[in-house]
Formats: sequence, structure tokens, C-alpha cells
Amino acid sequence: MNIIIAGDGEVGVHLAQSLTELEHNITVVDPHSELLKRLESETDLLTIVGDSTSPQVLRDANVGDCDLFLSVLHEESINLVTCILAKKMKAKKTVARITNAELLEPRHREMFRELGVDEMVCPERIAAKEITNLLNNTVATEFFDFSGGLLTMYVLRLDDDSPVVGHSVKELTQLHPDLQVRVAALLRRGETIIPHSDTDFRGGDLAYIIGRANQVENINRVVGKEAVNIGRAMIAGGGRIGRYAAMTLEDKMRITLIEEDRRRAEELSAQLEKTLVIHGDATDIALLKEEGLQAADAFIGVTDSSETNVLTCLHAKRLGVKRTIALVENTGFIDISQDIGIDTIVNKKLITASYIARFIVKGAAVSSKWLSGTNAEVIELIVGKWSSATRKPIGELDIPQGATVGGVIRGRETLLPSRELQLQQGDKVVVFALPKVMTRMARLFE
Amino acid sequence: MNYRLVARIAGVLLLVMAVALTAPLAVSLHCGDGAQYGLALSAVVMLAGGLLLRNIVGRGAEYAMEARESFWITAVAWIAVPLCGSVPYLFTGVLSTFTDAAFESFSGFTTTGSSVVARPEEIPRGVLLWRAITQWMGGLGLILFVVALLKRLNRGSLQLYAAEFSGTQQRKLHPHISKSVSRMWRIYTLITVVLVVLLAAAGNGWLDAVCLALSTVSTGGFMTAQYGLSGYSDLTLAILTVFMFLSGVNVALLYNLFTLRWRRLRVNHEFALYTGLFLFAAASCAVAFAASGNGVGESVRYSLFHIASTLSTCGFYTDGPSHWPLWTSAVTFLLMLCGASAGSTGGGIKLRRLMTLSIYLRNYLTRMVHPHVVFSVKIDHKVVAGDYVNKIFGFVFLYICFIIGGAFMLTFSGQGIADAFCYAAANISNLGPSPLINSLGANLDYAMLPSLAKWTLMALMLAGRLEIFALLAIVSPSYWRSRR
Repeated sequence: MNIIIAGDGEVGVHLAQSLTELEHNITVVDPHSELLKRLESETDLLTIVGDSTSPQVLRDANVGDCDLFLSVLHEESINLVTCILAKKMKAKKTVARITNAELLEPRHREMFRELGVDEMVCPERIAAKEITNLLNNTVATEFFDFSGGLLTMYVLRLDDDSPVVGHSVKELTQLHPDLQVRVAALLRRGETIIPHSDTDFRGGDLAYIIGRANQVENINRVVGKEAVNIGRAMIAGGGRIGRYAAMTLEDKMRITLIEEDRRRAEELSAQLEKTLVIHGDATDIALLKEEGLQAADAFIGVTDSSETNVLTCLHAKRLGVKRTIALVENTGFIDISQDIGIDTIVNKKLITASYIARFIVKGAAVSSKWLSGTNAEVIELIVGKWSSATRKPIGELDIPQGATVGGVIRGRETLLPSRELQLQQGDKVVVFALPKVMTRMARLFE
Repeated sequence: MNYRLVARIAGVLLLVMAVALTAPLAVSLHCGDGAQYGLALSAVVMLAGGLLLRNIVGRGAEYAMEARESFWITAVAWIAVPLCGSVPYLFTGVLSTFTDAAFESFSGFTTTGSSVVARPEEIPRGVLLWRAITQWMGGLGLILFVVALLKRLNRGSLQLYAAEFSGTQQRKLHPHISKSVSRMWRIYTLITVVLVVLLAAAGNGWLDAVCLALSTVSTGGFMTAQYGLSGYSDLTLAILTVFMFLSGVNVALLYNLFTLRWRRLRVNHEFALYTGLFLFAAASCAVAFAASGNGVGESVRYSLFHIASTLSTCGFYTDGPSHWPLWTSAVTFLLMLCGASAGSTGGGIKLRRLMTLSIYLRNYLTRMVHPHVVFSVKIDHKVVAGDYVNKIFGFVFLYICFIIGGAFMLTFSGQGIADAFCYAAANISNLGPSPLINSLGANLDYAMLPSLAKWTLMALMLAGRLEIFALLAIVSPSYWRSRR
């Protein structure tokens, strides 16, 4: 697949890197020559220095042959103009990164389609949505729905005293025959393990569990986690993520939002109905305490500074806040942040990449998610008519090392992928795979 | 100061009055009530005065205006027009003293409805109609007349509009101010015509229907008989209840409603509060009346009518229950001060202002616990600017000062202290007559008041109608110090 990425920073670079791993032909257009030089030396792709709103630059990037055009600059209007130009110059599909969630409203969709912007992605909005989901489901550090909620993937951190620690996957199914889930992967000290029946659970593992949505209670019971009811939350940082999160959460819980910039705080107080907007520095722990950090059930660090987010979350954790979520922009920090005890890390780059990946995997990828902490990806695929997977039961399929089938959806029914299960055309399979084998998996079911 | 322009505008207003006088004149000629000479003479005087001011003094006036002119014009209009409007009462001999005539005229133009005419059913029909017309002219605002008529004012018209309509602060109906204003006039006229037709259909004579309609739509409250509206049928009173309620609603809202511009109808918390307050007050008063021994049907009907009349500051009343429970008096007094919606023809402090203040105060209390909190005062999900909030504080303070000052003057002129406060509050809120004042034992007879009291009340009416600031601007020292 020929993909052009117009970017001006880390999101574009991250996308380029992860897409190259999936064996696509990537061209990056970016005004920063230094960044591109570094990128080209590290990754196998083509770079063009220039302004993506210039038709000549687009022509140089061979936009006419491109299957997917991604415009992920910071500036929304540039992305829109770039996509419109690219579409006019015969790009097959265009995706623009936007910052104003108003554009995503369904009633505007047709208008943007006509203009030439096929899809829009608002990372801040998705990040905020993830935060909202996480506060509603307080046990999982991350979770993701497939097929409108028929299947769910939970990511749980196993505590040292969890009853499952020390047992193998096989023992787990023997002990709890009613537990209708599948452990798709374990993340242990930065290493992704695709478990087989003899793999042991260990304390500190991050378990990726796929199951029906109604299994959440069961999982919590077995793993020994208790759901926390979040009644008060404190958000540090009134950027877009903080604002969207406060907007969606303020009807359900009491929100205190801390913003450093006076004018921004005033804007926020105008836009938010019930949230208590505080003007102050999020690193000022005395201020946080004064505003009731100890009484909060959740702390969400979403300031522009990853370090501030991590540190304030740690502090909140020490003061007994049950749930901490930090925005960490530096992907290198994600692993360590989770190791030192922050419940969940949100990363805009991963989110954007996850979202965009669904346009990329050939065949009928319905949805996909890039996971934080591991480079693996979960993806939902539709089994094609001529797929070789329909000829043999799952146990006999040639599933490569580093990939696993987590669940199957047939019609409105969900099935657990036992070795004997025979896939049919039209089934949706949830596949968990490392990037190097993702394309092979996709081809298998295509 | 652009005196020529001021003169020209005053002239235009006089000509408008001269034209308006032709209707009472026609009625007088038709009925042969003997007032035709007086009315004709008044019309001639106004015509002459208007032509003199507009075409001779104000000739070649430059249509350039700044804030100071706009205040000056507003004040001139609101003082000179009611003074001239008193001429027909004097010339027809209905009222003998200048004070009484001025009182009646001020009360009409400010849509207060306090009357010194003892027996309205006995005065010439033409004068009765003139009384009603003054209210209708004042209802939407004299300045709005000017703005609608003088399209060349352009930029200045916005300042005039702001000087008179200080309470609204909302989107105009049309990008052009004169178009917005003419839309307001159109809806105002439309409602009036509909009401006239309905009242006539309900079996009232045309003159009665017109007089009542003009009084209702402008929330004036001049009545056609000595003892209120007791003589009218239940159907008539029901129609009036509905239209009194409507008259207390923001005119722009009514415009969007009646012209079916549904998409412009957004959340309007003021309207919700207005409706809620109306229903709550009417229900509670009905219960209070019924509990103190009146019939249930009568209590409900009377409460609805009375609360609509008080909340919209119209001021109609009928023969009600003889015994007033304390609750009802208290509610009436409060609603009288609250008044109608901003941008309506009604008076009072206006609900929008009270909402703004209560939100501000709630925020203020939260700030005591959270010293670093950042707030904004929002109404209908829109932020109210800080200086506007300050202005409202100033307004309410002045309002209270005026009531206290007015009550002081009234007490000084010989009224009981409770009566004095009731008179002051009823007139600054442009309510006018109210059975509450009766219920307190005072006789609802403005004619008996001494001159000092009458002039005090006139000042209060004007202050209430102009929402104080426009009036105070021209007497403030800084206004005169910066005079060029």
C-alpha cells in the first residue's frame, strides 16, 4: 500500500515508523529537514522536505498513486487543506488530524467528504474518551470494545497477591470453568508473551484478556480486583484532552480542573457547566491538597509536560488516590511509568496510530488498537470468502509465532476460539499480533 | 452637543404624537363627547411645535451622534414627550391641574398605569383612547420609535437603542438596527391587533377592546372603569391573562416564536424562570386564597389573573377576594420588584438581572472555599461579561436607593410608611395600581396625593422605565464636566 504522511513532528514520525514495520511504502512530507534526515537514516522510507499545502510538493510525493493520505500536522486547517488538495490530485483516501471535535459531528460528515476529507481523527478527543472509559471501568488499565461491545479486551495488571499468580493458563480454565475468556497476551517487563496453556501468571504482569462484556465481573473476581466507584476526579491541565474529559465526565462526577494559564482557565469556565476550574500550577502540591486531592478518587494528569503528569500522578497515588491516569507523550517513558505504579498511560501518538491503522490493514479490518506498553496490536478482521482459514479448524491453521486469535464473533454471537472451532466466511476474528506478523495474519483471513 | 439633532428628534416625536391624536379626535367626533375641540387644539399645537423643531430649529442637523447625545436624546424624549402628552388632558378639561395632567401622561408613557382619573367611564371616549395610546407608544420605547423612523441615524441608533434597552444584551434580530427595531414593532403591533380582535369577539365593544388591548400589550394598566375590570366577562379576563403573560416575555423571543423561526429558539432560562415563577406564584396564591375561605374556582381564576398582572407589571385588577392572606401580599410585593423578562415591555428589576446576580453570588460563595477558582457567569450557556455583572450590581443598588428615597419623599408628604414603600415600589416597577396596595388599607387613589408625592412618583416611574442609568447619566457631574 502506498501511503503518504504529511506531518510536522512526532505523530507523523511515529506513524511512519510503525507503518514501515507493516511493510507499506511510506512517503513522509515534512517541513523539518533535520527530523526527516534522522527518520530516513533509521527507517526504510522516502522523505520529502516541504510544505504539504504546496501542489508541487504533493506531486513530488507522487500523490496520484497514493492509496492513503494521512495529514497529521498540528494545525487543523493545514491538514484540511492538504487533504482537499491530495484528494483533488487523485489520492484514494484521505485522513486529516483535527483538533476541533465539532467537525466530527455526523451532520458535517458529508460536507467534508464532498470537500475531499474522507476521515478525520481527533487524537485529543479519543484520548479523552479513553480516559472516560477508564474511569467507568476502574479495574482495567485499558480496555477496548469490538463489534459494538460484543467482545471486549481488558488489560489488567496482576497484583503480587492476586489469586491467579503462580497458576498457569490451563489451571485457570480448570479452576474457573465458567470464566468465558481468553488470555491473549502477557506483558512481562517490556516483553510481549503470547501465552500457551502452560504459561504461568506472575505478579506485575499486564494481562490482555479478551471476553464477552458481561464477563467483567467474573474477571475481576478471579483476578482479585475490586471495582472502585469514582465520585470525584481531579484533572490537571486544561488542554483539549482535559477539556473534553471534563465535558464528558462532569455530569457523572464532581470534577476539579487545574489550569495554569489564567486566560485559558477563564475560557474553560465558560465552556464547562459544572466543573470547578482552578487557576494554579499543577506541580504545586499544596494547591492540589487544598483543592481536595486526598478526597479525589481519580487523578488525571494531562498537562503539556509528561514529567509533570507522571510526578503528580505518583504523588496522588501516594496520597491514596485510587486511580491515576497520565498523559505521556514520550513513548520511551510509557513502560517505566507503568512500572512505577501509574495505573494508565495515555499517549496521543499511539492513539492516532491505532485509529489510523484501521484504514491500512488490507482486507476488512473493522477496528484496531495499538496497545501502550507493547508494540503489539489487536485488530478485528472479517474472514473473507476465499480465506484459507475457512478450510481447517483453528488448531490446524498456520498461525505464526507472535500472534493469536483472541475471539470470534459470528452474527450477534461470540465464540471462544477453541482448537476445534471451524471459522466461516463473514466471521469477525479478533487477532492479537506483533507488527512483524500482522500482515501475514491479515492475509490468512482475507 | 449636537442640539440640532436633539431638536429634530424631539420634533419627529411631536409629529408622531400629533398623528396619534387623530385617532382619539375621530372617536370624539364620532361619539360627540365634547372633547373634539380640545383634542384638535392639542393636535394643532403638537403639529406646530413638531414642525418648528424638526424643520426650523433642527434644519440641516448632522446625523452624527456620540454617547452623550444618545443619553441626552433619550432623556429629552422621555421628559418632553410625556409633558407634551399632558396637553390633551388639560385642553379637554378632563384634568384641571398641570400636576395631575403630567402625572397621568407620565404614568401612561412609562406604562405604569397609575391614574388620577377618578371615574374613567365618565371621561370623554376620545381622551380615554388617548390615555391608552400613550401607553402603547411608551410600551416598546419612545426611542425605538425614533430609531425605526430615522433610518439615517445608522451608527447612532445602536447607542440610542443601548441607552433605552440596557437590560437585554442579546443578539439583534437583524444585522441592521433599524430593521431589528421595525421587526419588534411589527410583532408588537401584530399581538395588539390579535388581542383587539379576540376581545371584540369575546363580546366587548370596539373602543373597550382597543383600550384594553393597548393597555395589556404595553403592560401599562390603565383601566376603563373605576373598580378595575370587574365588569368584564370571564372569557375577557381569561384572554387578558394570557396576553398579560405574553407581554412579560422578551419581544425578540416572541418574534422568533410567532414568525416560526424555531431554529433560533434556543435554551432560554429566563423564559423558563418566568413561566415557572408564574405557575408557582399562581398556584401558591390559589391555595392561599382557597384556604382562607374563598371558592376554589374563584381562587384559581383570580390568582392566575392577578399573578400575570403583577409579574408582567401590567397592573390590571378585578374585584377579588375581600380577605388577602399574608402569603399573597408577600408574593405580590416580591414579584412586583422582580418584574418581567428583559427586553419585554414590562418593568421591574427584570428576571435576567436577578438570575445573573444569583449566579454571581453563588460563585462568590464557592470562591470563599476555593480561593483559586476561576468562574464565569453564564446565562443560557453564554458568558456574561464581568463589567455587565458590575453594572447590574450598580443597577440593583440604585433601584433600592430610588425605592428608599421615593418612600422617604412620600412619607415626608404625609403617607404612612408602609403605603409609601408600596407606592414607591409599585411605581418604579411600572406596575401602577395593584390590589396589594388596597389590601394594605391604603385607598388606591392617586388623585388624593399631594403634588410633591405625585412628582416623586413621576420621577420613580421614569427611573424605572429608563432603567435608571440613562436618566442618571445626564445628571451626573462627569457628564457635564466633559461637555464640549
